Amino acid sequence: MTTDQPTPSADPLVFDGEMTIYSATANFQRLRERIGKRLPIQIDLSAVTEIDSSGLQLLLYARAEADDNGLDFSLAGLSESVTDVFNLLYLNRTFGISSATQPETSA
Amino acid sequence: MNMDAARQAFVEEVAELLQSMEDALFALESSPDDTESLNAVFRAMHTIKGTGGVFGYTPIVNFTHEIESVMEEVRSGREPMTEQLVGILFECRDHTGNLVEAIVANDSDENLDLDPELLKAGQQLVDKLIARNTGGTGGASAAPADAQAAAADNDSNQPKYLPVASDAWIIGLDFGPDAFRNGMDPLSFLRYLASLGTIVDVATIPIWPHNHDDFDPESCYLSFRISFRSDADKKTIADVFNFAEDDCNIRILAPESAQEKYLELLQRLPDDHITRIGEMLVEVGALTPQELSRALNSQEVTTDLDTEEDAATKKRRLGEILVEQGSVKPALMEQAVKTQEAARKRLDENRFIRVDAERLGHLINLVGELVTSSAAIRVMVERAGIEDMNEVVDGVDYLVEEIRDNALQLRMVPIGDSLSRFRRVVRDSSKELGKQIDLVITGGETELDKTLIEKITDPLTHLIRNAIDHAIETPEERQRIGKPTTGTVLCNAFHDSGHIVIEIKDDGAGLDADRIRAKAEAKGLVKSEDVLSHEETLRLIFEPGLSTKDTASNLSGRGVGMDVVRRNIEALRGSVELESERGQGTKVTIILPLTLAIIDGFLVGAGQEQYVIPLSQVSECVEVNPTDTSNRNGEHYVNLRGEVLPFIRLTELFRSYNDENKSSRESLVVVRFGHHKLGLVVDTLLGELQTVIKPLGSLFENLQGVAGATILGTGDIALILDVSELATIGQTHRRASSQYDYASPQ
Amino acid sequence: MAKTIMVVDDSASLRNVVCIALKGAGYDVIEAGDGREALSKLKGQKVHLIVSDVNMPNMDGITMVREVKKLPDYKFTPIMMLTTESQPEKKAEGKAAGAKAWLVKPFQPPVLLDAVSKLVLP
Repeated sequence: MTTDQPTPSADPLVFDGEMTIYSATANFQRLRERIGKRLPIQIDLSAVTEIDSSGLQLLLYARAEADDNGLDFSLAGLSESVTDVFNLLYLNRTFGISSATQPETSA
Repeated sequence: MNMDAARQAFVEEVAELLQSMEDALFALESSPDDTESLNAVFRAMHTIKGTGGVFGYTPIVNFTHEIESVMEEVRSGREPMTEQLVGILFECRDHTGNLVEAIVANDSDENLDLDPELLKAGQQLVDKLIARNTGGTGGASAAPADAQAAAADNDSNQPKYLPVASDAWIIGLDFGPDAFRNGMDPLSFLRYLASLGTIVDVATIPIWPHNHDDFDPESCYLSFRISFRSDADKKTIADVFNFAEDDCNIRILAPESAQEKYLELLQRLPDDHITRIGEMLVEVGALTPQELSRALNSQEVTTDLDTEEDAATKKRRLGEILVEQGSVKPALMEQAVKTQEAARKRLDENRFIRVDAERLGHLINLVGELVTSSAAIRVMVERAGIEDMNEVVDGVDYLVEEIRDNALQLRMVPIGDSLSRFRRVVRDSSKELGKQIDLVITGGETELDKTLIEKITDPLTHLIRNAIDHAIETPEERQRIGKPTTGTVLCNAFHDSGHIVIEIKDDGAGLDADRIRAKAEAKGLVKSEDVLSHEETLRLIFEPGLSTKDTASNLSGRGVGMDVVRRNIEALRGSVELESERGQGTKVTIILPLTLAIIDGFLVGAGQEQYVIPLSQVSECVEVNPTDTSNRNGEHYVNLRGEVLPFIRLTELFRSYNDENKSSRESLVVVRFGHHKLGLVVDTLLGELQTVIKPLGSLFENLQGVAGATILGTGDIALILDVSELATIGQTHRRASSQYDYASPQ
Repeated sequence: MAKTIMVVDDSASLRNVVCIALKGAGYDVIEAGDGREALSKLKGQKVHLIVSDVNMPNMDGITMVREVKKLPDYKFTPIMMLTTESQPEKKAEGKAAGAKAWLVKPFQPPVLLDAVSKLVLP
């Protein structure tokens, strides 16, 4: 998913399937790697079937790390389950998503 | 699977479980300690109860619960398995089967009207179980009710909380690091919360570790601040998060509208028992029990070092903690404190009620009658020889005694109030006399009958005035003889074996025994050849017409002397004692019974009559040997272990003779009053009794030596003897024997 | 996607009623009659919540919780113990083992549904 060379226009980090406590450590490792390479934190969540609080926490952590490290942050594609959580917690602002915007079209 | 099929499955399962229970019970008959069998019995009941509950079969739940509890005790070794218990358990097994059959036969969940006979049988079994437990039959009916209550406890027992109409709740959730690991997903709680109302807004606040590298994706760093609109009450909202109680710090702040309601409720809170601020807030629903216990815990942590801290500070601290932890808004806390204070005040006001003393007197009279009637019942029962009644009569006697003590207690007041009025007397009169006198009062909390207090005020005033007037020297005189210029009058009260003792002590000049003696001789009270002890000499001041100061001051007056003091006190069945040493001071001790209405008496028979002697004045009873008695000038003396004791023969005094008893032996009751002793010779000793004193009425006012009369259990009347008056009769008799003619038969 | 709840109780009829209630609410349900059966049935499954009795033959609930906590795939899965009021100590014991939720038996199905949905919505 990551290229060998740090390129600013790298493919987005894709989290898919279950973004739960059971996958938290693995997802975290991948995020870490990307931050280590100082790649923009662009995350594709369109294939997330299930997200729990630990998954949400990881996204918040990514957002904070991006700010701390001066990296661009964006979410590319939100699955229905992610949208549900964002709506429940009014997190669209936090992640720079206009609530009027359709998840599919926001980049 | 539909419900009918589920019910059928339940019946089959119960049959299986009961079969295994039966097998286990058979096994227990031969080996009562077999763990496996004990477990099998427990599990059968436990499972049937649990499953029955899911179906809503309350009678099954209630019944099996009892057996389960007993088996829990046995299984854990707290109680042995006995043959008797196995027998009962067999019956319980059968009854469970019957219950299940009956309930399922009703074939509708709603229709649980069971045959009352069946329920009764179950009740009897439960009673048996409990009777076996408590080793008796008492209390058997209470426990099943408890079981019912426990079963109903799930939802009916909750206090009513106030629904909130509008406005938003503020909920703060700070999750602990282990929340995820424990399977607690904050999102789940929030989703559930959303089902109770509208989540208006949420602030998700992650608290990252200081060093971002320490971030552990499996740890929880999330906090939430939620604005929530709902009609649910605080408890319902708090319950959403109850599974997270170990992993989350929960704060729930009620909306303004609810605050107003809480304030209103707080103001209207009945103040019968709620005086603790936390409990008050929980009561109105402003605080959840969890929030309170959390605050109390943190309070303990901060205050356990300074245990002496006063309650007020602690209370404020709790308030501060509650506000700080965000459970309660400050305005609400203020109102709670106000309500609490008001409640305390009202509680104080309510602690006392004014009762007309006459009503109390009437009550005490009635109790007196009750004492008499109770004694009558005992006599009747004994006469009728009804064995079974004795226990009942004992019980009634005990209660009557308790009622008597409590009723008398109602009229008891501390003596302090009437003693402190002497402060003014001492201050004013010492000023007038140019003396410096301190009044020291101790034992002011000592209680005695209000009617007694009223009656001893005069004698006490007199004694204190005597001390000020005659005893305490002028400051110049005191300085000259090396005493502190300020004299002290000590007033002390205390209880001593059924009596109240009041001491008036001064550090004044003391009594001059020689001068008293001289005056007494001059007045003809004693003859010059009489030998009197120091104490006897001092006691002469209680005789009429004796005064120790040559010129009576305007304070003490002329007419009232110590004889009046003594008479007043003896009229209360009390006595006065005197100690004095020249130059050192005087101590007057007044000993009074606690009450006037009822006495513990000693019943004696003399002639055809019965008499009551106040038990507290009875020193001993001995048999009289006629050879030990002597008669001098009509006075009787008896040699009591070498001591010459004057005595009065009651038959002679009251001229009541019974010729039949003449030949039988007599008994001597030794009574004491103060330091003095007197013998009363009676025919028979009849034992102790409680008795009410009834005034004799004006017709008998002149009857000397009698304090009153009482009605005995048998209905007979007995005279209550006034020991100090009898002694006076004896003394007067000795001093002027010729005036009295007792018409002695001897 | 429906969430799956495993119901562990030695009473088949209790499981029946609970199943009816949970399925009615939209959950998938897996049943087990005791702790041992529960552990073996967890393998290869996806379970979001385990609801378990304490007193069971073969393997009791507390032991089962300890075992579940050792399984990598289930160590974070919420577990709800069904305790009875005659065993208040079981709640504490269960909590210590890792079952943070509890429900007091006997209960009516709506109460169970309520408790379950605080942890996992269908």
